[in-house]
Amino acid sequence: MIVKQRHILAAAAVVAAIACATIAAARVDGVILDRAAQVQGFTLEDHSGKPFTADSLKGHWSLILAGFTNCPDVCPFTLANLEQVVAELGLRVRPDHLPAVIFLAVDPDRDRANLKDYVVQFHPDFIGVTGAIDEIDRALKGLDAVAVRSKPDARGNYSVSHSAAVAVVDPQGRLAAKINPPFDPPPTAEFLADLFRRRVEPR
Amino acid sequence: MIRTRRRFLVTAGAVVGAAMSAAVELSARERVSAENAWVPWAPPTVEVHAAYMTIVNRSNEDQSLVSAESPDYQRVELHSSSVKNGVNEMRGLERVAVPANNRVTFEPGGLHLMLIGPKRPRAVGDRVRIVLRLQNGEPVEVSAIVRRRNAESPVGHDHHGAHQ
Repeated sequence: MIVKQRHILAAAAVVAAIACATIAAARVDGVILDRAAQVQGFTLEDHSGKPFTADSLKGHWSLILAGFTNCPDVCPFTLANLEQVVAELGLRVRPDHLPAVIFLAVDPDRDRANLKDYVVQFHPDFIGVTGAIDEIDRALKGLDAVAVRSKPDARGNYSVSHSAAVAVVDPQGRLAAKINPPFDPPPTAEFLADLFRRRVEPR
Repeated sequence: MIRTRRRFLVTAGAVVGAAMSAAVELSARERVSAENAWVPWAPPTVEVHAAYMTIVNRSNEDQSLVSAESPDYQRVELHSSSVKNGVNEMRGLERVAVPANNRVTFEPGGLHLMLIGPKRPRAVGDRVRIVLRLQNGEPVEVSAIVRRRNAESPVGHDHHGAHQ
């Protein structure tokens, strides 16, 4: 009997150790703004060629990341994580509270041709958005984000550095929070569900 | 019962022995190898892909990867992604050190091979051949499987990918 009890304790210890390891490995680095900041006007186009403006952000939550389609590593990695975040959120919030995922493509010359394919490979509802450089920069400013295009090398290749954070915009079109990498899906979904709940329920 | 078990052990021993001798044979020829190599699937219009893998150096000498090429792409570069002051940066690397009896992991958000200019569309499950070059000129053959980013890891099905 004593032996059996010890066995159970050992098993419990193992389970606890695994749980701790999981918690340590999965984390979220999110910041909620003290005062949500209205995203100022910009005029871009979505990947189907329809106008996309600051007003397009109203009426639903949005997760917005800056990137470019010649980015083979970080941008697709983030989009794939956001697909999983939204799937996780589906277990936690009402369907009409699920956020739109918007990929703000900051390299329009190269992005226009393949933006739709690049974005919808992760989810058919994801939205690619791009346009004129000054309008992109205006949108970036409203999201507290930056993009810097490097000088082309001898072959004419260049890279684009861009903010790593995902901007969270509320249904009033205000920047409400930012999430920094890594975007581990379960804790990121929990962070967002908590943020959405705070805004919906009266304090 | 005991006899059955013993026979099983002997058989298992023979299998392990065969596997070990194969490993020894391989390590003489391929002291540096690539394991679990994969290329995230991308739509045909996307011109730049990535490849991820673990480079294992079973030798007692430090090694470096200095270049890479693929018959399936116009160009392959060694790259590293990093976040500096909240900004994602990607830079090309001249070399990637693989210390003696150690490993280096190319994974999303860090080291990766940048595959530029695909020569034909790739389907999930296809193989991409990549040849890495060490500082002494020796090649390291890589056979990377194409899979979706959110699919289960191919680990367990793909241990021999590098040896095909």
